[in-house]
Order: sequence, then C-alpha cells, then structure tokens
Amino acid sequence: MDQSSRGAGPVVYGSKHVAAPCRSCAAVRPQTYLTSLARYYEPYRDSMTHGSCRVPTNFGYMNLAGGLGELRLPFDRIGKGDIEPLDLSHMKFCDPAGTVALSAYAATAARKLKRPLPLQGWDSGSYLSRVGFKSLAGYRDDFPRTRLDSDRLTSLIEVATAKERQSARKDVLNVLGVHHVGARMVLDYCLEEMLRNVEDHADSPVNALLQAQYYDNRKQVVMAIADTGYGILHSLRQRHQSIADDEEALKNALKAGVSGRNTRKGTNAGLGLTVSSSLVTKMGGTFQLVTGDTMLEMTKTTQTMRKLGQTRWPGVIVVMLVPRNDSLDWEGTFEEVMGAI
Amino acid sequence: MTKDEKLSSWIERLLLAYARRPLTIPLRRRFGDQPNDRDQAEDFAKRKLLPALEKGRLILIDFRDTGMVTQSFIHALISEAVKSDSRHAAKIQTANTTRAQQAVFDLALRHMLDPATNRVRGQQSLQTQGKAIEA
Repeated sequence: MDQSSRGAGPVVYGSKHVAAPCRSCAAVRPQTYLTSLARYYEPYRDSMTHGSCRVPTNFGYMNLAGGLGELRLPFDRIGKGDIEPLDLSHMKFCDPAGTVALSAYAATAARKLKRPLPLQGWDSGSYLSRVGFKSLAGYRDDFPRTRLDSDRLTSLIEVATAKERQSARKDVLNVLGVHHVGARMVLDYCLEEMLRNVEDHADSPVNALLQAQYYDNRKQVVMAIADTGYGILHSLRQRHQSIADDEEALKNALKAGVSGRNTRKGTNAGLGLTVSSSLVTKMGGTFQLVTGDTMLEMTKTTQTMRKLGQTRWPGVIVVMLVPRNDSLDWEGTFEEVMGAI
Repeated sequence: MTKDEKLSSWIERLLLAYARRPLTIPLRRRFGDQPNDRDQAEDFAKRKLLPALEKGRLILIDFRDTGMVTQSFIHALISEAVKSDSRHAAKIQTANTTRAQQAVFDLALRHMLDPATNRVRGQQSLQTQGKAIEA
C-alpha cells in the first residue's frame, strides 16, 4: 500500500486504484473489489456510500421516523446541481405512509428539476409501481397489469381543488370498502379536514398526495397524506413568532384555535387537526404527524415525539391508522368528540 | 285613523314582514350533497347571508339530503356574520340536521363565540393559551 498517497486524491492499494471521490459530496468512497477490503470497510459502509438515498427494507408507518431519518432526503439540494438517485433495491415492504413520503419527494424533485428523478433498483411489479409512483417521479407508468379495485388499496391521488377532494374521498372510501355509515362519516370527515389543511396552509408544489389501504388481517385502514409545502412551524410562525422549533409547533398545532386565521385563503377556525386527531385516537387508532425534523405519534393514551435524524421534511405528512370495526359506536364517538372540543 | 291611513299602515307592515322574512339556505341546492367547498361558502356568506342578517332577517340553514359537513365549512359560511355581531348567532337556525351535523354545527358556533379560541385570539398570547390547555 502506498501510504504517501493517503489524504490527497484517490487512495491507492498496491497497484489497483480502488477509491474515487463521491460525485455528490466529494468524499472519498472506496469501491473495493477485494474481499478483505470489503470486510474491512463493511462497518463504515453506510457512512461511505453517499451515492444514493437508500430506502430502508421496511418503510411504513411502523418506522416512519426512523425510515425518514435513514433516507436523508436532500430536499435542500433539489435544484442545486446533481441529485442522488433514489435507491429502491433494498426495499421489501412499503405501506401508504412510506409511499406518500417517497412520492412527495420524487414528485417535488422531478417538478423542480424538470426531469425524472433517477431511480435505482426499480421493480415494475412492486407495490410502488402498483400505486403509480413512477408517473409522479416523472416517468411513464409501466405497471404491467390492470389495477384492480378489489386490491383494497388506492393508487396515489394528487388533490388540489375542492372537486378533486370530494372525488378522492369518495374513491378512497369505496375502494377500502367502508360501507358502515358511521365509519364512513368519521373517515370522510378526517380526510376532508386533512386535505383541506394542505390547500389552506401548505402551498405545496405537489399539492396533497393521498394514498390509502385496508389491511384485512389487522382490520385496519391506513390513510396517508403528504405535502412538501411550508410545514407547520412556518405556518404557525405567521401569527405566533415565539414558537421555537418543530416540536413546539406540533404541540401547538393540536390545540384548538391556535392555527386559525393563518391560512393563505380566508379565515379558518384552526380546529381541523384537533378534531381529526381526537376522532382517530378516540376510535382506538393512531395519528402520526411529521413536520420538519420531528414526528408526533398519538394514540388514545400516549403522545410520543420522535426526531427524524438527518432528514428535514419541508411540509407535513399525516398518517391515520383507524381500526375498522363496525360494532364500534362511530356516531356516538363522533358526537362525543365534537362536544368535548 | 282614516280608511286610507289604515290601508297604508297595513301595507307598510306587510312590506316590513316581507323584508324580514326568513332566508332559507337549502345546502344541497346551493352547495351539493357533500357541502364542503369553503370558498363557495365564504362567497355566499358575503353576498347573501350577511346582508340578510343586517336587514334583520332570520337565517334557516336546511341540511336536508346532505351528507357529511365539516366544521370548516360551517365556519366559512357563518363566521363573518357571527364575528361582526355575536347577536347574529341567535338568528341562525338549522333544520333537518342529523345528530352528527348538529354536533358539527354546534362545535363551529361554540368556537366562533368562544373568546379563548377565536374572537380575541389575535390579541391573546400563545403562552397564556398554552397554560390554560396544559392545566
């Protein structure tokens, strides 16, 4: 090994040139083909492979904060030169929470760059392909079969106007097979409020991206909405400059009336998030809210804040997990929540 | 009072009663069976609802054959009127509501009239409100 070459230019091992600077960050990235060297570098692999944003093996509501942290999506570098490809080769499981996050990033990048976001390890028969991810990333849709409504999952829906909201809500509830009057009312209410919030507050380049799925084995509906707009902190600071960070913004956003009158369009009571989160948790579900570098997860009894690590989500991701149990008193709970706020 | 005076007073009262007749807002006909377009509601409130209330007319919001209604929609429809004069709240009535729709309407109206969450929200500091909620 030529020790003198270390620290300046490519590292040389024997006569073989095995390292090159990373294209995006100029760090030295060993491209080892010798087994011994590969073993040596294995513990440092994650910190050295800067070449792409690698999507974790499982990416969904169960590890949304950790997954986003691991992904390190470079929102701040979009439009400033080259952007890393999205590496999907390791991904084995994804659900609506992961899908809307990836799609919102891909669509934002594709629209700002005015060209498709580079993808690595694309599988045209995968879940992402089934829900129409590729067209949002700027490519032609190549899903090899007809999408079936009986799959109990919706494709990704971009929602911008009142008419689109109404049709999206109807489609989602029909595809998920929610026919119970009370359940339909509660889910419909939450969807409308969350989609309307994006229009009111976000100014998102991808509008609101919505995807939902019904899991029969768990009897659970998962609905996720993402945008890449201003985020809660920016929106609340229009009126409350004292809010210091994303964590405080998330706490305040759930209080009745705090986000009111902050909208880009007209007046607003600021009750949408309060009511929707209360409805979901009261029904025994989980409500997740991601903005900036923080995620808030709420259940009936707990509220947990999680940091996203190195990713900063510019807008908001809302994930609602609702048990679909027709024996629940949906109407009664709805009235109870409305009376309690 | 002469016959002519009686007639003129009667006509006057009739005209006044006509001018103050309740304004019925059939939500389904105005906003569709899923009335949630807030822009439309705000526009309608400015054009019709507020002037009617200022003339002393009662407002009857008819929910017949409508589905889910959000508090955002109700807020957009009546908040300007209620905030301009809180007595207007008593002149706004509902008809043919389901229990859920009535609960949403009550929630929206309650918060419009509640100083802690609406009317003086601009002046109230967030810290004060935060303390109240935490307590």
